[in-house]
Amino acid sequence: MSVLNSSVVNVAGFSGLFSDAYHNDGLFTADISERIAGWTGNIVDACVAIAGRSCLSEPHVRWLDSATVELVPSDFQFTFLECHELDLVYIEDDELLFRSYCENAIAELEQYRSYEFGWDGEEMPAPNQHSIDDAYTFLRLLSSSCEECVEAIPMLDHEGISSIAFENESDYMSVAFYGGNRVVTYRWCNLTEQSSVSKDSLDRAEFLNSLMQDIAKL
Amino acid sequence: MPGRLTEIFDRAATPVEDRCNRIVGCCYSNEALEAAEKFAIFKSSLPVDDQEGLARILECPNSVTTTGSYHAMAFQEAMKRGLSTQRVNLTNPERIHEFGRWKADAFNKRNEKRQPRTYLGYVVGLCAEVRKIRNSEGNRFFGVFATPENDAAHADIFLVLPVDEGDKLHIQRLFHKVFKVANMVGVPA
Repeated sequence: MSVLNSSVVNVAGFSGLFSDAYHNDGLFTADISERIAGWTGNIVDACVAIAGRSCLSEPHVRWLDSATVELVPSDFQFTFLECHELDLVYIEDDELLFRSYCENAIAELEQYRSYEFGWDGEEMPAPNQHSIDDAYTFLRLLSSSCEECVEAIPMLDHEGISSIAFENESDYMSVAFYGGNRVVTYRWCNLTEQSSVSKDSLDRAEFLNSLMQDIAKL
Repeated sequence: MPGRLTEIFDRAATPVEDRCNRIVGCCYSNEALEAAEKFAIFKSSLPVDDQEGLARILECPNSVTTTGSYHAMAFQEAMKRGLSTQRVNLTNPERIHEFGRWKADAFNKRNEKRQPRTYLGYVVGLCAEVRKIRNSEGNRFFGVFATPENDAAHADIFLVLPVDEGDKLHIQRLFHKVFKVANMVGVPA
């Protein structure tokens, strides 16, 4: 943004009507110059206020300068003012940073994408791309809402379905992604030696929240 | 009728990649499965005892990643083509390592354009632990068959039941427990 500020007004650089007004009509008296500087200051303050209100991130951090910043997912939950036309900031998927517990799994999922039929040197099918997409989206969501978690362990089965497992000393949980948001979850408790399996959809907010809370507790 | 195994393991009669589906099609369970495991598929077959150790070759990057953890696909062959193992009682570490080196070399020669495999060593799982892997109805998922086709110590772990989505996740977890990567016997330098 380029603004006219009283401290950088160079009277000698004026041209056209302003120059005529200054040189011939004596328009820019000290009083007028002071008023222009005042307006300029007000305009700058207004711009900063609009930008600040229009880009509230959680936990409501306003960037006070243009220095390089490192973003984590929780900073992306912007709310926009509806009464102003604003320039939006677009952030691509590959610019998002994942929490450290997801990094290995994300790298592995990206590797799965490159596998073609027979990738193991035998006849293993190519991984299901929709399954990888859902696993990736799930990890991004988990990473944005859960600051700390056990390591996400990526898996791939002989039918090309991706899954992510989470484990601590007493519990094991894995989520298999069948594409179209359809998932199968498997839980095992070492203490009771009992397992359970359920099928659901990531579209269902209640299920999704419950699943992420359970993973966060591990 | 365990005699069907003779045809299934006859390369002239059944393609190797069809073995798993054919065995599942036999619907072996409980006593029938035990009888099938004791059946001499080859003339020199000796049934695999519960207390025998089964050595599984580990290669990088297809079964163990560069970070030392199991690759996602490490044991999926058990559900597709049969998981190849060496019976520890009928061989020795040197021969297992020799087989592992040969296997990796053979793959690399056949697949010059693919990422080369490196033999790392082997890991041993107890046969009884494989036989303990069961579904929610208490039926065994896997049969352990003596298959001394080219090697007297060879045994295959084959799926004997159809699996659903939950079963696959259950099996993934248990194979990592039976064959602990932390116990790998590394190849001598």
